[in-house]
Amino acid sequence: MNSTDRRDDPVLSMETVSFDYGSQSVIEAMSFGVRPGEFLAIVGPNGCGKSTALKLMAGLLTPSGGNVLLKGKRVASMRRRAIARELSLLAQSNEAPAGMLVRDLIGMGRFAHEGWFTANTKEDQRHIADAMRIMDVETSADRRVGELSGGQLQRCRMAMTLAQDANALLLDEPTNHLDLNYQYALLDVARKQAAAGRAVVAVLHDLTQASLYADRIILMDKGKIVADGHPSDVLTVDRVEVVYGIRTVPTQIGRAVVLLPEGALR
Amino acid sequence: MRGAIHQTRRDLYRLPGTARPALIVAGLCALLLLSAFFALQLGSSTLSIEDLLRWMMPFVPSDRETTAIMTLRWPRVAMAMLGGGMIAASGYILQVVSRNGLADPGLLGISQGTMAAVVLGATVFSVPPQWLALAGLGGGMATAIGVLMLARMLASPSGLILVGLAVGIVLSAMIEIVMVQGGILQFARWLAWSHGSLTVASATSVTMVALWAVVLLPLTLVMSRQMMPLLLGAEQAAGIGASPKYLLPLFTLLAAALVAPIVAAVGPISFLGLIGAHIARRLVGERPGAVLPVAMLCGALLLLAADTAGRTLFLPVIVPAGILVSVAGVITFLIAARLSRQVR
Amino acid sequence: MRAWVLLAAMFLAMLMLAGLHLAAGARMSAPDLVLQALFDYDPRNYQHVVIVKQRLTRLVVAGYAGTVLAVSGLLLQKILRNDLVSPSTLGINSGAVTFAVLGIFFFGLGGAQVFWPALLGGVVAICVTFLIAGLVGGQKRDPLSLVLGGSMTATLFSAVTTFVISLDPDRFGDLMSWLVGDIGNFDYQPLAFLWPVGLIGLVLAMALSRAVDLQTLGEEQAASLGADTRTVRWAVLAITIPLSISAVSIVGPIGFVGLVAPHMARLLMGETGRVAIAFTAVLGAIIVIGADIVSRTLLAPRVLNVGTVMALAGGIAFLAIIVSTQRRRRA
Repeated sequence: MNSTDRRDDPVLSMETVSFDYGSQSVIEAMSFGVRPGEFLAIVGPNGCGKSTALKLMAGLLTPSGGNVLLKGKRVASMRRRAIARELSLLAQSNEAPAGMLVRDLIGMGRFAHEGWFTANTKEDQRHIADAMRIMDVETSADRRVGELSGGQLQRCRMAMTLAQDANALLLDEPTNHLDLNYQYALLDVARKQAAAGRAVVAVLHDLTQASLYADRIILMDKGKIVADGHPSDVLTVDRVEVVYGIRTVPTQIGRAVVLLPEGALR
Repeated sequence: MRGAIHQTRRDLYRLPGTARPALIVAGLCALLLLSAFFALQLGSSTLSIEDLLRWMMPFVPSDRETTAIMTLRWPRVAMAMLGGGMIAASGYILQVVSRNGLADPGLLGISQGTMAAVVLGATVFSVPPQWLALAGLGGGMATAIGVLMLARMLASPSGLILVGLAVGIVLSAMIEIVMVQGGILQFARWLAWSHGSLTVASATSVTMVALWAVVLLPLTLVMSRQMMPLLLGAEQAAGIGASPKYLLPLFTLLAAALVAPIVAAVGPISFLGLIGAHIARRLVGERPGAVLPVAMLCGALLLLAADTAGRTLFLPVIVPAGILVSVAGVITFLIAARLSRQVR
Repeated sequence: MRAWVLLAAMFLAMLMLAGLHLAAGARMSAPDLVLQALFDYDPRNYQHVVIVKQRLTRLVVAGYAGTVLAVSGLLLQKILRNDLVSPSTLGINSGAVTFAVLGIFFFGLGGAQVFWPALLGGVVAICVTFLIAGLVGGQKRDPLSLVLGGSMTATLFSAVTTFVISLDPDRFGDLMSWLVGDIGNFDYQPLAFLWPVGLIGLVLAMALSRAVDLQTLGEEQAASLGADTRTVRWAVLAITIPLSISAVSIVGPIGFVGLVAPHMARLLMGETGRVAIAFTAVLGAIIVIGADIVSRTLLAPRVLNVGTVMALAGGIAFLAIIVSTQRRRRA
């Protein structure tokens, strides 16, 4: 690997990051980087610290040890606006006031790019329109958030994070609230964003979806990285048994790794 | 997740046996009797123990002075004990019915409904004083029914409290309209009453309250068995064979009936129901049959202590018991909440 | 575009209501008389004196109180992501009254001076409310716990107020109507000193509007969109508390404009952006001016308290809001 090639420098990297709530350690000495064009999925059982890892990457939590670097700068020392221009996050809660117009909701993605007197410029409008087209929510633009279904709202919120036009895109369980077709549609969008040169990190529940879409998977357990690499290398039967406590039978369909519980197949 | 399951299991191990509530009830009774004795003794003119005992003994004549002081003091002490018990019982019932540990007659608008009926009855419709308590009861019950019906449209347990708060605000505004009509002295008196003061307790009002208590308190204790399924929520309660459809309105009415005579006689005592029930639940767990008597005793003790403190500690100023209860009570409640959070 | 039209229409409605306010009273004045009094004031004409010295000052005070309370309510609802909060339901108003009464009792303050103890009281009260809400609700974000915390705080502080008044009722004789919230028979001088508080607060509210809007999406999402959540929250609290206290020091604890006006604005035109803040401000003024007209004419010649009229109407509106929002949540 050529270290002078800027494109291959990680956009976002964790350097021996650890995090604890008081005496309770949540993340222990975690190190990895995400490069432009890479779709990284973080998987692991409930409470393994994957969402916490994502929040640390987004600068929402401050590490108790180590550093999170965004384009070489310490996230902890950056202002929120500066972070938001480089990094967008789709948070897990799908909270939004019922009376707000979808157009305004998506427009909020541009906040970090606005000046005191330069809101809603041509460029802002272009990014908003692009995001709405990508997420297929143009027809809902003038509806109110309260009229949307959970799935529609989730797509609108995704459009908002896309309108943010940041180099790193973090998704915290983005397929929540979505019907199956939209789950895949959203993951498709995420993969296209990676192909366009962004660094995409998604916390996912479903191992099959993760292996199908991600270039790289990090498997976490009890605040530590168990394995980091290509999906079919990471998701082995033995590792899954250790981490999830269930014996599985693997099947490979194309690039997707499907793990079925041994007990149910018997 | 894992922690929560673990927690429940630990609670199960700590679940008190039958001996514990009985012991606590006995202890609280003793404490209450002792407090009552001191409450009778203390005051602007403190009596000697000998005089007090002499007054208490039947067939033994006591001196005129003691008798005079006592005719003022005993209704007050009796009222504090009865009132505290009834308000706390009412608060606990409402907490079970609304499935919300924060319910209180004051929060559900029942106290305000009673007050509004009393105020309007006294000033606008000139109801004779002896009927005011009944008018208040009517007002309290009507409010309870209204709040319940509105809350029924909402389904969520917190809806009941929100509706109660809103209704309470509307009723307070109505009371205020009447209150400001009579000049500042009258206004100050209304204000004092609206925070609950036992100064006005008299032998007649105590007798009235006692009559209610004699009917209602045993009834409440008997019915406490029916409350057990309601703790699981209306649907699950119906699932195990109770009929929440009838039980919920019935218990709400009972709660209103318990609190109405007190409000009519001495004014509402904010948060007493909340605090009494809260302490009781921490002492003996969740079984209604055990919590109810303990809650009553705690309420009685609290109000008696607050009233006695209010009329002795800051002499010559007499602080209304309602104010002391709400200030001291909320502080205790917060400390209790704080402690229980730390335990978790 | 639609929003601007609505704002203009609402402003026009406010002007018309203001005209009605000047004309209405124990005796209705003819419109031309009102105009004459405003533009060709004759101090010897008793009617003119009534219109300018009594009704106009009252109108200005009502408009001011409505505006600042409504905007405070809107901002608070947004940063706390809770439709049920307002300066009154958070206990700010009652805290302010208590400390003002203490200031009057112990230091003999008066007029605009009560602003300072009232401000202190508002800050103390909101701290108590947050403390109680935190203890009651824990980590859960239940809209109820804040309201309950506010209600407990209000009860606590009003208990203290009551006690202080009962120590020497005569001293508070003139203040009775202020204690229940009224625009009426007392000094309007405070407004002359306090209006800059309102102006600065409103300008800052406008400036922060975008960052405040982001808060409605939840703490994490707002932060990742680039808003410094903590700073915005503190800034909004630092704006809204003095803003509402400046109104309370003049007219007493008028409740519910702060709760109801944002809701009505939301229904009529949505809730995003600076136009919505301006709209809420105008709506707040309309509500209090309207309530003042009602309180002076409903039982004329007897004058009711605006605070009481507001509490009555506001309580009913509160009930309606609860019923509609809680129903929606279930669906």
